[in-house]
Amino acid sequence: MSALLRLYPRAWRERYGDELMALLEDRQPSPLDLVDLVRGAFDARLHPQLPGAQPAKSERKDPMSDRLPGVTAIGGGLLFLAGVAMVGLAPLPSFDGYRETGLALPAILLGLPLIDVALISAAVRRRGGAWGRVDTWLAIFAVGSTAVSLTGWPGLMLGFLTLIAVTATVFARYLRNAGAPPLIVAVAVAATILAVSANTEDDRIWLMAPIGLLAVVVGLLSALRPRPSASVEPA
Amino acid sequence: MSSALESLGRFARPATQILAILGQGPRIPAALRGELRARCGDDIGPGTLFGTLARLERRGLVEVVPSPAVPRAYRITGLGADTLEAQLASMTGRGRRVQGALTRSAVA
Repeated sequence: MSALLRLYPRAWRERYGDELMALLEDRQPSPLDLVDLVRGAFDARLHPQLPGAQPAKSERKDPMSDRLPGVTAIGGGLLFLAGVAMVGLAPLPSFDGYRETGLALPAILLGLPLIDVALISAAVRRRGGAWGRVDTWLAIFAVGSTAVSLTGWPGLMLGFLTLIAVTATVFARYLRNAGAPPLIVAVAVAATILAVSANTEDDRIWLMAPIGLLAVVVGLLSALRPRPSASVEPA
Repeated sequence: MSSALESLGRFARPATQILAILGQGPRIPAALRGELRARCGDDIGPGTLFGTLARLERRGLVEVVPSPAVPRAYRITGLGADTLEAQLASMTGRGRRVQGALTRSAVA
């Protein structure tokens, strides 16, 4: 039960944790209660209700925690690049056909949602606020479309295209939030969308590489400067 | 005044019920939950109960009774009592309007 309690924000646990545990000890929780607890944890994170919760969060100095999304984005980018390299460096078959992708596809398909969720989280931290509705839906689409893409054809294509769209949106939102010029944002979106032209039949697989490189660069920037300086106005 | 509760979305109903129960005296969360089930027929989950209490507390409609004991008891504030009264008046007025409209359509 205490594991479920950890889903709640720390400030929430400090305020209501003891009372919640007492309530759960009073009556054995049903499966529906457990679902309600998880739902409550999401609610507590999305809509913090504690007086002073927002300022406390934005004033918190926790460098490791602040840098974690950036570091995760770098990890996701490297995983993605490793997947692309596995395909790109594999020998082409002697007859017309696709390269053997092996572990490359899972690496690519798991790297993308990792990049997406990490950069959404990094953007939220830059704003110094809570997860908004758009942030939540983007994360749900990123994870959901990965699950769909792992079901095989035609889910693979549908899930992959959705993932690319989500990733392009996440890059654009992060860069705009960080105050990047519109041209940089447009180039990042175009480089991401290039991935839909990638193919495992020939060298076009390398068209996916910009996503991984972008994730590493943006993740690095986020890890080095997780919050805007005083002179930068957050979007 | 009633909009303070209506703006709570899915928490509006349990919030009204909790205020009505606390209007009769302070309660600890477990007692609140038991009374909600017994008197209103709503078996609300622990996440919803504390989500509602947090919202009510943040808006100054309920407060914790000062005491070192755990679990702490909650009581309704003056603002909470006014809000509940306005909410109940709004619900009654709405009920009357619906009843009037139904009566008129039945006669026609």
